[in-house]
Amino acid sequence: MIKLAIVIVLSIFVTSVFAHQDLGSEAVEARMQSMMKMATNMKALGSMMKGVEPFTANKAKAITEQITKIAGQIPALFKSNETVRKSEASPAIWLNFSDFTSKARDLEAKSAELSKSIVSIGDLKYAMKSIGTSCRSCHRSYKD
Amino acid sequence: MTEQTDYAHLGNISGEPIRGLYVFRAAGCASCHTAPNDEDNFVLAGGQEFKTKFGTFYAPNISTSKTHGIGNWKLEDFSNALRRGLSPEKKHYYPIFPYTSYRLMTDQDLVDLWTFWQTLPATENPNKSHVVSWPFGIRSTLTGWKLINYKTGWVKPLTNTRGRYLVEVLGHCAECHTPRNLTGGLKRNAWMSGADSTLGEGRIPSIAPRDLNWTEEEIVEYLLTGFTPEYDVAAGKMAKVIEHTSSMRLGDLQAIAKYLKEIGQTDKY
Repeated sequence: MIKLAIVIVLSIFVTSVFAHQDLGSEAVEARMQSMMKMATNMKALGSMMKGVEPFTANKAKAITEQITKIAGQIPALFKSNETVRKSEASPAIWLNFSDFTSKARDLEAKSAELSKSIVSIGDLKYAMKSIGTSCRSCHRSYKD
Repeated sequence: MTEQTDYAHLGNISGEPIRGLYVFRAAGCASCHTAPNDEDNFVLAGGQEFKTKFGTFYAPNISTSKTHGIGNWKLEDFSNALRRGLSPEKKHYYPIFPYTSYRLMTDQDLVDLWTFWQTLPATENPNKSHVVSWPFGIRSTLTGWKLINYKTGWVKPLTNTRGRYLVEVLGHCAECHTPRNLTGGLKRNAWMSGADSTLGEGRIPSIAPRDLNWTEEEIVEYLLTGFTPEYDVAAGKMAKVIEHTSSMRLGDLQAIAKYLKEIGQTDKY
């Protein structure tokens, strides 16, 4: 539980540091922070998968729930088509917003399902692969 | 440059479609030749757009359609296209098609790939004409282009021959990751040091050892899962590439990673 707390604190620290970079758009900052939080959580899962951190089912479940939560916020965070130079969001997002939303919902549903079923390292490996496929499917079309 | 070679030996090689599927993935054919945003990797309808400073190119339909695809081709045509950049009518292909990389594809891989190709579906998507700026719109200028840029030797004299073959030939990694000279040929002295994106604005990152400080294990992990060491996820064209590398043999991914770490010093882009 302490490790999970560290991950969450680190996630808040990273995002707060990032928030102080003035990108000139709150909407862009919010969605970039959200993607960074996602990466921080994925890294925490990856650390357990590789044995860098000890695996516990509860910790994996809590992190996966965080991923589900962030995935659920994606459509709202990307609703505004504001952009700045540093943004990696492709304009294709707003041309195909329903498809973009559907991909985010797919990740949310997949992650929610996986959070209930991770009891071993093997389950975690499967979850990482499954979530990774979902991430790539969206990034392929919608991240520059 | 355009002479017909003796293909009798190719016809004597036995093709195996399962091996051909592996070559298909390693060569990344679907990365460019599926329809834009199509998630099916086996319907080679074409249509993806590539913007370059020489013009805008559209990947052709290379499905088994006899009308719009390559359904009427023979093995010799396939070999000429992939390894020499020549159409069945002996016209030069634009080098957006990476024949300068595929030039050293082995006969066995070529025949296996061809055998696998026969199992792919036909799709009747018409081809879109390239929009090429003068003088590159004149196909005969490509004769001169090939004299300058169609080089047949290996780029790196390494002992890791499998990694070199996968990176320099099948994976054609340099086509995106290496900058181009004034005529659009690959700058071998700046091998893998990054380039302008062919998808509009932006840059393709350098993967030369000077810039890519990932370990070999991290490179393998990326090719297998799409996750960077910081758990960012592959995007754009590279996400499509990962769909194929993720099903490659671990030993091959390790050979690719080893090659990338052994490139040595290259000029900066």
